[in-house]
Amino acid sequence: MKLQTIKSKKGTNVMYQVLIHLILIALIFAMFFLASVNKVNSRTVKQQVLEKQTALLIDSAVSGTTISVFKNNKYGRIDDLHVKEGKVYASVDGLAISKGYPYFTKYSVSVDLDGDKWYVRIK
Amino acid sequence: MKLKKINKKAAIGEGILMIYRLFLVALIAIIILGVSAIFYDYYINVRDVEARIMAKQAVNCLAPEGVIDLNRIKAYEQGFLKDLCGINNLERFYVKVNVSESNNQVILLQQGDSGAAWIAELFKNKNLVSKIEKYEPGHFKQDYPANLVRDGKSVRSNINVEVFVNNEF
Repeated sequence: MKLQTIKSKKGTNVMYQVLIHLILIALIFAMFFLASVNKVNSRTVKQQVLEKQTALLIDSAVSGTTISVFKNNKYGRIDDLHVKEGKVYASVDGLAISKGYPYFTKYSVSVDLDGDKWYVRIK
Repeated sequence: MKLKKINKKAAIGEGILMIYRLFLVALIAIIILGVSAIFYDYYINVRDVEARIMAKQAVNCLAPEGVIDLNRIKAYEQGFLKDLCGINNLERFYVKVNVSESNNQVILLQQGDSGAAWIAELFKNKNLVSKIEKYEPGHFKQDYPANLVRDGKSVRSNINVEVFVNNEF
C-alpha cells in the first residue's frame, strides 16, 4: 500500500513537471510567434509605402498644396499620420509608430484629421 | 534525513536541467522565427527619386524661369541650398551644381558631405555589395540649359546638377 502510494505520488510529480515544461515551451513559442506576425502580414511594408509616398509628395509640393489621405484605404486603416522634426510617421492597422521617413522642404508642413481623411497641408 | 537531502539535490538538478531545456527551446524558436522574419522583410528604396526631386528644387531655386543671376548666387558657393533656397533637413544630401558657359566653368556650388559620391562609386561593384543594397545612396545627374546674367549681359549656359542621397538609418 505504502509502495503504491509512493509510486502514485512520483507519477503525479512527473506529470506536473511535464505539464510545466509544455506550458513554458508553449509560452516561449507564442511570444516569438507574435513578434514575427507583424512581418508576415506585411503591415510594416504598407507602413513603409505610406510614409515614403507622403514624404516624396511633401518634397515635391509647392506652397498651398494639400494632400488628402483616406483613413480607410487599400493599405489598410491609417490610425495615425503626423509629422515631427522633419519626419513623416504613420501607423497602419494598429501597428506601432515606426522611426518615420525624413522629408525636405522649405515650407511648413502640418497634418490634421477631418472626418475620414488625413490632410497634409504645405504652407 | 538522508532521503530529504537526496531529494533536495535532485530537485536542484531538475531545476538546472529545466533551465537548460528552456534555453534550448528558446534558441530554436529564435532561429526559426528569426529566419522567417528576415525572409518576409522588404526594404523600398526611394533615394533615386529623392535625388531627382532635389535636383529639380535646386535648379528652380538657382534659375527661376530659366535665368541665373550670378550676382545673386555668388555669395552662396557653400551651403546654397539652406542659405539661398531655404531648404531644411539636408543631412543626407550632397548636391553639386556646376554652371558653365561654352564648357568653361563659371561657378561651382556645393552642399553636403562629398563622401556620398565615393560611397556611390563603391556600390557600382554589385557582386561585392549585394548583401547591403539597402544602404546604396540615391543618385541623379542632369544638365539643364539656362540663361546666365552677368554684368547686365545674358548668355546661354548650362547647369549640371548632381545629387547623392544617403540612407536614413
